[in-house]
Amino acid sequence: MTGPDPFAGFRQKVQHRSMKLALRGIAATLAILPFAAGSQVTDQTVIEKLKAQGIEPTRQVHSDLCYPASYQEYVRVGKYAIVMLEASTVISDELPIRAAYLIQNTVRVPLQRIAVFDKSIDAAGAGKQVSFYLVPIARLRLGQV
Amino acid sequence: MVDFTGERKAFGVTVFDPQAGLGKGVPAAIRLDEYDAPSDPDPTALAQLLFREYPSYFRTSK
Repeated sequence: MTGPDPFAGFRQKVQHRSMKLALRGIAATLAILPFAAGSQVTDQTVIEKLKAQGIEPTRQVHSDLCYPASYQEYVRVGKYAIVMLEASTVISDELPIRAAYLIQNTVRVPLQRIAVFDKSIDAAGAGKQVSFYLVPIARLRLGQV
Repeated sequence: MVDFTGERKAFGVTVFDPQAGLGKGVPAAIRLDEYDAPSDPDPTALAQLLFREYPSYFRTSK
């Protein structure tokens, strides 16, 4: 049987990347990319276009925020959500991630890490690592991040 | 935000919009809970959530 899983939590996937490359080079590249005015261009689209130009990001962090599936589960997990971070960098020594935190009114609120997996390093020396953190939903509710 | 080991600090991951709140996909009882102070999570419930949502990374031995 197919269809949505009624017990599945609500998840939001976000991808962010840092391109510590020659900014002028990127700007010049972006300027010639055929973006339609007013269209919604995803990060992935931009990345694919940059890759086609031979430009790769130095660091990337993909995040996946998972809320409890029900009020009962919400209470049982202490009113936390879970965020999965998949960090990759061409400088493998930068992993593991030292800390993950929320910014609330300029104050850093560190997140509690609940799991971290061994990092993988490819032949070129780039590393990737997945880790999981608890995020207090109360901090997210008011958009205070 | 995350800090990589080494010099790269404060790497932005995501931003939440105060107007949008948690989003419409979140169960209403969670979105509207006024008594939302966090407490110690039940390890069993936390494990169940991880097994269910991230089967690529977590599995049960039972």
